[in-house]
Amino acid sequence: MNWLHQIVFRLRAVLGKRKRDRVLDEELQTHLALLVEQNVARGMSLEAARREAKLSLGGADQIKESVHDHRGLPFLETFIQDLRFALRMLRKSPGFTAVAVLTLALGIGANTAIFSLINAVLLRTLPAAHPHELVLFSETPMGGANSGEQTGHWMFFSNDNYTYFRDHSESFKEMCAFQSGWTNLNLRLVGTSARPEVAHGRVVSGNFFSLLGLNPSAGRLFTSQDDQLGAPPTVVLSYLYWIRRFHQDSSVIGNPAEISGATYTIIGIAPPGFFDIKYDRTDLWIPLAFQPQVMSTESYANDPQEYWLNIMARLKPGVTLRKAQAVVNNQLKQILATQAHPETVQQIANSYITLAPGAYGISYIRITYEEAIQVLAGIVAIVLLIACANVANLLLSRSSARAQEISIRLSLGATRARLIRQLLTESILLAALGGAFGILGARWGVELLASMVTGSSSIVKSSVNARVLLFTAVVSLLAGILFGLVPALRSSRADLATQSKGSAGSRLRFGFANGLVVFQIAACLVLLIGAGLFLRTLQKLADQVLGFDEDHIVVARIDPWRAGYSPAQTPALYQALIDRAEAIPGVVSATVSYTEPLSGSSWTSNFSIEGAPSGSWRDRIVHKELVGPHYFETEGIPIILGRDIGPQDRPSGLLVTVINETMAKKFFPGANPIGRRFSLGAPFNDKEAMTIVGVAADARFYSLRDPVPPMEFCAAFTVPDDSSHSASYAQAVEVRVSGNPRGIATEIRTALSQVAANLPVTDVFLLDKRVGEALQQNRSAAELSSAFGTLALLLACIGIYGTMSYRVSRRTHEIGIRLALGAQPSDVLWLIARECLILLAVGIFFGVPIALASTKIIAAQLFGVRATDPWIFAGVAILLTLVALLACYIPARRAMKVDPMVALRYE
Amino acid sequence: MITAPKAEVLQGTLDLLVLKTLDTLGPLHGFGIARRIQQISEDALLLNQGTLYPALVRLEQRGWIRSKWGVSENNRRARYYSLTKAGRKHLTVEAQSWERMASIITRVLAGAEEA
Repeated sequence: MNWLHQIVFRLRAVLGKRKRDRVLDEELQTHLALLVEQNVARGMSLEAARREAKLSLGGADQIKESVHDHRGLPFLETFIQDLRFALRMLRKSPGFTAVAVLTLALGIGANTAIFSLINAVLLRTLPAAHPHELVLFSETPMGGANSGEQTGHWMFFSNDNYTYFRDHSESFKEMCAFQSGWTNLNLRLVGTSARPEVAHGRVVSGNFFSLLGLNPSAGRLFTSQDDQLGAPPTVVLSYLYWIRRFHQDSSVIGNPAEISGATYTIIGIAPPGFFDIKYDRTDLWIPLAFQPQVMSTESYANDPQEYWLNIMARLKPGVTLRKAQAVVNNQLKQILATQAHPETVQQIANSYITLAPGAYGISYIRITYEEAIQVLAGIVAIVLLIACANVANLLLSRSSARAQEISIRLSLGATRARLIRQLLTESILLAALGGAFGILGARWGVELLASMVTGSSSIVKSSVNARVLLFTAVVSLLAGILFGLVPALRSSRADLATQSKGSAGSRLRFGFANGLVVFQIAACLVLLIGAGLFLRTLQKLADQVLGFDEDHIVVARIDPWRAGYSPAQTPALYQALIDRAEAIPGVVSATVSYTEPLSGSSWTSNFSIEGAPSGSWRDRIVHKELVGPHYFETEGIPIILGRDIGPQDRPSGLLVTVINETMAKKFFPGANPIGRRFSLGAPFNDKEAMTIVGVAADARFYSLRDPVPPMEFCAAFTVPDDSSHSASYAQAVEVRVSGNPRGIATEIRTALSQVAANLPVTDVFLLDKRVGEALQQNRSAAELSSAFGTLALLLACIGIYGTMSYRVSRRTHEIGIRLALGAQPSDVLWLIARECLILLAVGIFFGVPIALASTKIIAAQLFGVRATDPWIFAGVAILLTLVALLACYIPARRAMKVDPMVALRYE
Repeated sequence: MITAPKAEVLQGTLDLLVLKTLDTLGPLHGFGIARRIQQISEDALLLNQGTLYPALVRLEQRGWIRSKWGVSENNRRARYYSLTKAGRKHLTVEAQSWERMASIITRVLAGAEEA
């Protein structure tokens, strides 16, 4: 315990330093006096006694220093000393300090902002108990359902699947299931006169909350009792919804709420901070047993081939993810083998489930933007390195100004290690100041960043927390050491003083400074090429021919299914909407559709063609659309063969559909598809078969970059009466206008809202908004990479300017001689420019291979341009050359203007 | 006054001497300890008296001695150091190991001479 005693002793010494110093002083004086007395007693004269006493005792200061080393915390004391000195030095050169701190603030701040984003999006675990024990059965952001057979990667599961896995769960402590999508529901508190409002709801198994280990913030959460057939209907609200809709009124708990026609009791509120495992926007949860009422469909529990659930489970202690995955896949094969519908061996072999860690839930934002954020992190790291290189260069130039001070300190006995420590303290102080300003900047910048990357800034609210601050502190410390080490090592060399006199300068030191500039140029090259690639991708995507006329179409969203219309009532409703819209002046035509282009939803199905062999119908997939009369005319999509959907396509008429070019070419190659029939699903069903009456040109409904899939557009007015699936209703009214669509949008909204009192128009917007949304990610990639690339270029420019200025000032003597010996100013200009160009060439030489390797990382995000596009590489190289020449222009001019007489005298 | 060069005193032996002094003479101030050490060693040890003070701090840090204000024989205020129990124990242990070491060396040297 000796060392403990020592530490305590030293700490106490730090606190009582002054007092102990006084005590020691007194002690030494006493000792001295006693020595003098002793000497006098021996017969010396007073003066001789004093002298001998002093010699005998030794130097008081040396004693004090020696004692100091044993007391206190010498490391801490010298550190504080260094800090004070560093502050003084920084204050003495405010220009240098300002530039260095600003440079570092930009670099560190950018990294802090990106890390905040990473923290909010990628590192946020579910607020569940022991989140790292949770696993998901196939992590997928998709929500929806598959009917019929499933093969390949199983993402959804049926009620039977869930029961089987739960009953045979040897690897899991507990398992729960939840609806993979969500449902929009009307909620109204019973007993109030308030209008029903829309909420996002999800059905979940009874043990959903208990598996996650959550506690209610009010009331109670589900138990398995609530999830039985015949149990009283219950609903749990989310915390945010409770605040937003009911203003945290605790009296709603225990009260009934009317949700889409049925009454449920509100039993409790979920804890704050829990936004659901998937999608983050659920307002309320209802037990699985009530799925038919909530989703307005038949009971999925009775259909072994309706796959619509996601499953989450908690691993038993000691079971690894891989082991559990193997077990689960075995179980899947057993399920398939013993199913009522016999599966082929091939299908059983192809089906698989992947278990993914569930700690982070399924965040749509995370899955979509994970890669983009990682690329951004790489970019800002490079920007920080460039900034550090700049500051290192600044420090190097400053070191020669301090050469005298340092050589004095060395000659007074300072060790080199001590000097290095002090210089490093200065560097770290600079970095800390830069980091502090960087945090301030990041707080403002991160919201802007988030909305650029993900479209909304809500995820990063209050995101500058302890972890982010710690990150900034560590980055600042590392940056300080990184840019400060080499200058500190060089500055503390004993022969510095002799070097600084010579005008030729040390080749070695310039070698390092040059190396920094070369690094900056190479790094800039990489960043700018990346930015160039993103810009070109954006341009190529934006130039894509969409196939429809997005500039003249206004979309109005409606929801007749939720408003309670039966399929039989829809034709009249649609016609009323169309007529009302077409009555507005400026409107050319109007129609209805299931959804507008680029809306993000899609409805796919297998299909069987009449007369064609039924084999491999699994590969026959078509994207379905439901459209009203004159759809293609309204959208501006040309009809290639046959006709548009028209007013003759009435209910109880022929089921007709128009297919797109891709579908015609793929499934009716070389033949005329007009008149042919096909039905959805397999095998061919004559009653539900649709007749092809037209072929339309391809248009981009789903993605700007993926190839157009086969599509069929069946007439909305002829939907059979018994299909009450929500997808058989039109959810959009699309209106084509002749002039500027912006002016008419509000008129359209008002007009359509008046058509039916119970059918609200939820949203009205121009179709090009959807196009903008589809481009949004690419746009932000291009904008951000350009912004950071420009920042890097600016920093490199400053770096080149600084280095060249310094070089010129060191070579003034030599330039003077050259001028005196008859050199022209233009020769001097060339001399300086040549140096600059050599640096540039070396930088590009190293930068190009690095760029080639780096752009492979983003190759997947590019479109229409190769990752090694030579035009962009060449263009960036030329840009860098121009910027470098610009940067050295002023120093070069200064060199030209050197007065030989003055230069020759300068030494 | 020119004195013959004296042997340097190692840190550890200085500590031991201080402890022994305090053990023998009881609580003593810095000057007294220094004088006593010079006396014992008959001036054979080079002792810049100032080097005593870092040693005293070190010993106090290790908990082997403690210090407090007192009054000296001629009514001066001085800081007195005294041995703690742990210090006494350390002294015993160290003294034994020194003696053992000394006897081994003596025997080795005697053996070398005999051989």
